Amino acid sequence: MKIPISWLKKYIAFEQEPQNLADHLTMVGLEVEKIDNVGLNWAKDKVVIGEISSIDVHPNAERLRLPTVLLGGISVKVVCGADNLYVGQKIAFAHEGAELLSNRSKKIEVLKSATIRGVESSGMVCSEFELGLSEYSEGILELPPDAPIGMPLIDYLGDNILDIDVTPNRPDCLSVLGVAHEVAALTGGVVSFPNNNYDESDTSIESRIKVKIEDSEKCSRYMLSLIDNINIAESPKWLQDILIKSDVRPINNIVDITNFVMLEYGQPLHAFDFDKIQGGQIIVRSAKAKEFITTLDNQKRNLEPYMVVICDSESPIALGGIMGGDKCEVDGNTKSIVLESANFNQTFIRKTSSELKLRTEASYRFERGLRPELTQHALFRATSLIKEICGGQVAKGFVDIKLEEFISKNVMLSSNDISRVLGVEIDPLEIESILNSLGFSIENKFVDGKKYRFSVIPPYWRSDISIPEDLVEEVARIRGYENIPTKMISSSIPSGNKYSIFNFKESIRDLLVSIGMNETISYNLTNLNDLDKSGFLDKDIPAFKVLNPMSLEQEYFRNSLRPSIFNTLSNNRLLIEKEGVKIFEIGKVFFASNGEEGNFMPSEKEYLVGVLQGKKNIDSWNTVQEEMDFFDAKGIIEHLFFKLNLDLDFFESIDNMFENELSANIICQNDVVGVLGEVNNQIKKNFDLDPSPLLFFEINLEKLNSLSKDKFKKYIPFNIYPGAYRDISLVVDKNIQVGDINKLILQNKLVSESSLVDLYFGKGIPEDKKSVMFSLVFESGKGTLTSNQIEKSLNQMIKKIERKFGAYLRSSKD
Amino acid sequence: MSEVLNIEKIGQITDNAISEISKSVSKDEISNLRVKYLGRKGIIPALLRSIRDVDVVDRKIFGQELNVLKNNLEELFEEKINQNKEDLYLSDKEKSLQDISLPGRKKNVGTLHPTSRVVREICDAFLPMGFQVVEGPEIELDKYNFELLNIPKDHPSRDMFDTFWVDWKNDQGEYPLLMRTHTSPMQARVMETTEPPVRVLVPGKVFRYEATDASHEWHFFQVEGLAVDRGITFADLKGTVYEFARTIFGSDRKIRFRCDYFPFVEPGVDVSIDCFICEGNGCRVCGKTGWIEIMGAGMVHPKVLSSVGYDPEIYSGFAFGMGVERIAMLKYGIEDIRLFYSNDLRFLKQF
Ligand SMILES: [Zn+2]
Repeated sequence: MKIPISWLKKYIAFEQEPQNLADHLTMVGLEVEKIDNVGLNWAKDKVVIGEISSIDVHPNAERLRLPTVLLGGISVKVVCGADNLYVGQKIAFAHEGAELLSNRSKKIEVLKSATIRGVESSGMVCSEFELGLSEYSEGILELPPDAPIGMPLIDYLGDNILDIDVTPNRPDCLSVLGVAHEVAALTGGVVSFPNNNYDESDTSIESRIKVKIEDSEKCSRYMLSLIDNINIAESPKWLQDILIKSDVRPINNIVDITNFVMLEYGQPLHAFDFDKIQGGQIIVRSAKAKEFITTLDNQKRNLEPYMVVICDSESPIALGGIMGGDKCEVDGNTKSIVLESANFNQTFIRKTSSELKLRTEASYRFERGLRPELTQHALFRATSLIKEICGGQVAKGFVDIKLEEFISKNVMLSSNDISRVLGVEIDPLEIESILNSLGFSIENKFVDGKKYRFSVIPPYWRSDISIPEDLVEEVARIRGYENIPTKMISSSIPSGNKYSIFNFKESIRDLLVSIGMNETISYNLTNLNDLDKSGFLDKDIPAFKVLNPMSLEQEYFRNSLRPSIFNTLSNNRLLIEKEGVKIFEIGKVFFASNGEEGNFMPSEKEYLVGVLQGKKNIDSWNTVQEEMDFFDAKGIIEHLFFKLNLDLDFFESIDNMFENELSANIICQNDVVGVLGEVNNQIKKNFDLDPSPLLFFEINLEKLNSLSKDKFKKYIPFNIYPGAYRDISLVVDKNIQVGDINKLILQNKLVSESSLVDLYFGKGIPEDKKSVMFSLVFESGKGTLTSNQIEKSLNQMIKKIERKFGAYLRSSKD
Repeated sequence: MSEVLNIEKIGQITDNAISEISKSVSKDEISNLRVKYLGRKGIIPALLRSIRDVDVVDRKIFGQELNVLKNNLEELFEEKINQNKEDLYLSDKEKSLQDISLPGRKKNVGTLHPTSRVVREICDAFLPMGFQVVEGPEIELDKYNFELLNIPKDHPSRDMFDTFWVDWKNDQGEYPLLMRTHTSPMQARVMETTEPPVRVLVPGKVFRYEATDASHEWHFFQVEGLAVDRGITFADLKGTVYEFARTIFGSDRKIRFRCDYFPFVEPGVDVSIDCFICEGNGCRVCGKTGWIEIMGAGMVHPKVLSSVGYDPEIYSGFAFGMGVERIAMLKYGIEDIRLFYSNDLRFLKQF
């Protein structure tokens, strides 16, 4: 909302500088986003008002003229190229040294005297463009005849325009009077209301037009006045100026006055050409099926039954509360008008304007909810202005159709409400004075020392006050929130939820970061192509999408984090050779689950994915890093599960994203919670990834979190008896899994640790075999083991391994 | 007969030995010197053996002197060996690397995403005040995202939340699902399922149908806070937010509340801190105002309380919500919000 300060001052007197006022308004809820400074560059002694006293012809140029300008005491003769000059005209004159926008460079330049075709010109007569008043202008700026000669232009035309971001709850502040009431509360000033009086003729309006509201749910009040013999013309300069400064384009005096009063009171108005209304009646009703209207913007609009139309006896003449129709448009030949001031239901207005994608200044105000009491004030004001500016006679009386009398609802405010909400006591006199300054009246009051109870009536322009809390806010914002004490909550702390998935995810983040991984976060929306590239497009289950995507790139909900992490990897592929990439993402995936009626419904789950590719670490000047492989990824999973105190196992996986041999399901408590593996070449090609080994893991975090109930690790006492170390070296078929042998070794009660220390193929070992060496620790809580006990146990174990896996001790045969 | 032993000679030997030991550099040199002086055929044992040639009267003194010398040399060798231990065991190749100006070996260091980091900092600031973290769904029902929060259908306050709708119809042919536009739906979800007192924080992703530029993303994070109990007032909100701002932005922060509108609170405010970049004098970051908006807040609207079954006559509470990236951008001087989710490791590895 643009509020020119010069206009605001017509309703409320104040002394504050514009910036200071803007700061205060911002604090009470009317955020001033910027102040447009009209005439910022007009130095008082350089740009002044003048009058053209004579015009001579340029001796050397037909198109140039030499006006003499009276500037109060002195007169100057300059060269001018404009052709709208005349003697007696009031103009803006710039002396040498003035800062003006240059027609050539479109930038501010300092005016220098110049000799133009042999005639010296010191100063110039200015155009609107040169003064920065408009983007484009032809000829010079013409000032009203009563503009005082010699006055600095800044004092006459200069202005500051507040650009206020009005929140949806304050339609009253979409008007200069609404803002004036706020200023009054801040300064203690008194708002002066505009003149609403006019003389009426003898013919009564009732004999000329009948009004009926058929759907009072959509229109609670409909008022009309009628003015005959008007003269349609351009609006006076002052009116055009205000409209231009408020970002409204002047059209003709009638339309301009309806717009002006809307900006003044916040109540939209509409004028119909009376002679074009058929049957002398206006009907306010819901639109009928297949009905349409051509609105003033020349668009044919198909109407729906929830839309409200204003009709004459034949057809719709306006889309109620949004835009007039072309049928009864006011034009240059219009002689009589009816002026509409009505109240339309905010919900239907919003629905209609959204559906028709037609948002107007009127719909913007109605959809925020206006008080029906406002209609009469705006109607009388506009009627009075029309009579004053356009001439004519106002028909006697006015039409006012409403279902019931509007009675302002009282809102109660007690001392208890104040202290309950704000945590501070406020003196009743202060409350009363703040509310009065905002235009509220106090109908009833009960005061007993610090205790009080007021029955408050909000002013007719405020539609946002209905409960005590609303009044508390009025008091608090005008008084200033800095005057409320700062305390800490004193009530008891609620009991906790220690197993929330948030904490679980935080632990996982920390663990992965601690082993050198970088966290990434990407968008929830992706596209079919990316889902397809990662093999996640299931033909049977629909992928969900948004109804109104911003781009086709981001249209579908991701049903896997795989496309996200592969795209991230692809974006960073330059790093792979240099230092390797180890990244993870924790986020939601979206998939179809069975809804209540057996249909699919979007559902979401939290997942973790990670990828590793390239160097294990950064190369340095004398070390070269190896490439990561499957076992680096597996080591990370092992570390993660160990630290989270979760049991872990791996089974072979059949996920077709992986190379066959190197992939595994991640198992926790006999449940598959994720996968791990080396990604196949097709996927790498699909995402334009580096060809080097790419390791991937993925874990369903909600499942894993549900399995991790006991998060406290149990301390295991040290064995006080020393352990004995033994290495065994076995030869087995290549297809035997080392993990299986290890499990068998650990079944031995005396073995507390077993680790693979060597894996060997090749020379000295038969071609289909491999050699594996385990380092074992034997110990017992009961005492130091003798070598006999150890040998016996070891031999038993070896026999078992030989039997089960066809293994033999490497030393015994090779 | 061997050379006659005398005190001068012992002194001379001592001087020579000390000078030679101190000049020695390599492991070989030291070990040769050790053999020369202390070895079985070395100078000191030879002298000790020659004591028998000395007058009986002087033997004791010489014996003592020589033993002192022997012990001193042993100590010197010991010291020398310890001192040069590393050098002594270095290969020639390694010795050439004894240049401290060579760069240290870089490690791939793990990093949290700056958003996760700031979410954690925000949560950590509130946890000591008794708040607990909960999360909610990213696809929400209109009911929780809007209706229960006093944002009815066809209300202009919906303009404040440009919404992505989910392409899914219910049996009534409506589209009730959306991508949540704020973390506030969890206010309703938490209160619906919990008896007061409530004190929760809700971090999470939110979505706005908005063109992106350096300061707007369609996908960003918020942290919501809610405290409801008997007797909670605006003064408590002020204290809680003040404590938070001091923790995150420094203990000398000033704080400002100005009236603002959010449909689910009344009174509603936005909260600013004094600009820590220009100390309130006005700069580009604070738009020359000296103040930086960090969150919206207010007292939970009585309609919201009653819609979830809390009696607004008995319970009151406050709520606040803030954009995580905005706080990260302020803290780390990041000028383009689009950096957060473009996942360029050159950006991510800085945190
Ligand atoms: Zn600043």
